[in-house]
Amino acid sequence: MESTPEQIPAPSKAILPDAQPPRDVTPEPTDPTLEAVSRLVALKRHETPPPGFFRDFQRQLRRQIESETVARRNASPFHRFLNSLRARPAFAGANALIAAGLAVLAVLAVTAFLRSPDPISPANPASKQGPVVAGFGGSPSPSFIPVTDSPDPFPQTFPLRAGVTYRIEILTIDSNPVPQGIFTRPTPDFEQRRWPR
Amino acid sequence: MTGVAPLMDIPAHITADAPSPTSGVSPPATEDSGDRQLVRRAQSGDLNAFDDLVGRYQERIYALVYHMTSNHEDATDLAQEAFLKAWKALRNFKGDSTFYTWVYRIAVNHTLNHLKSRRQRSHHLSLNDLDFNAENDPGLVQLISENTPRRDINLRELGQRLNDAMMKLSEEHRTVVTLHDIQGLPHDEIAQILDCNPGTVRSRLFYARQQLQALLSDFLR
Repeated sequence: MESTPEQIPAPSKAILPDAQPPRDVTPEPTDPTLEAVSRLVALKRHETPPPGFFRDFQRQLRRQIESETVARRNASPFHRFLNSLRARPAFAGANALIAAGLAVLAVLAVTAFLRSPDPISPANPASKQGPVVAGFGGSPSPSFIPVTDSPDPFPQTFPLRAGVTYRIEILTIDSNPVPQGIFTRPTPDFEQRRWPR
Repeated sequence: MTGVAPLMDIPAHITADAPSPTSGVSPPATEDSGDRQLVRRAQSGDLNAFDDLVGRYQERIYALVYHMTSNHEDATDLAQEAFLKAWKALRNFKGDSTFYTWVYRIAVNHTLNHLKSRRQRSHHLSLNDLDFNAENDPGLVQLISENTPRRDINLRELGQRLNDAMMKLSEEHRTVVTLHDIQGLPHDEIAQILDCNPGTVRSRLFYARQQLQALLSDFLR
């Protein structure tokens, strides 16, 4: 079919870089010296191994492949898996990526568990009401959930679990009361009497 | 020609474009279709089919690795390992590229990894165990002509100098010189093998030749 001028598509706009042409586009050498270099290097193609080399090469390779095949058949499933990974690097990479992802997830999960709010930490809003102190007339706050009714001072609070509030009981023995005002600062009158000027 | 006789007589049947024993030209279409059948059989576990594939490409793969390492023993080991890797990974070969390109890619990457791991203790090969039979190459006569001050050059010395110069290139530059100048692969195919764009291949080739020009200047004047 003959193409009329109307049918000829408009030439696409060529976007030429302002700078030099790409560095990696180098024309074939027109320099006779470079051509001579090429011809000189081409002489290397005459280097050949000793006669009979390739016959031995092929035989040796075949023997190697056969021994590897036998070894592969006798290998344990684990070794077969390892060999399959070696043979397919992309598959091995994908497996490694999945394993690494699972490891990261596991670490994140453990970290999140360990960083869960501590029931007696000041950072925990539930603990700001203060502990219940026994022996000083304190009464249990209604927001505290007793874990057990056991009179045991160390009730079954271990292992600590996130989201559970624990009651803490502190027992004291009032055997040596400190006299009132013994740690109070001496009055100026007192100092004046001891060290008169 | 003045004064000095050429190093060797050129047999009449040899031309500048004559393929060398280890030159790596791209396989023709029939070879590619034959490859596909062999690959299918090899994928189903037929070791003989893989053996045939190895037979087709072992010389090119060996030559590729040899020119990248300049070491015969390393080249043997690395080429074998590359084929072994190819055998192990053959089931994952989906045929997006030709088997030829695929196995080349394996060999190049394996060799580059090896070179990177041994960068600090590189050791060069003396060509004692290799047959440097370039006497019949017309390119050599053309290069070592009356214009060349090193016309009395010894072939072994030339081989050694070429190897030394190649080993002074970076691994990336050496790879493209090997694939293009020695093995004769086109830029597009090299780009596929190295997983880069053809412009990068051309660029690396250009800079590599410039370096080689400086390193081999006494052969080129």
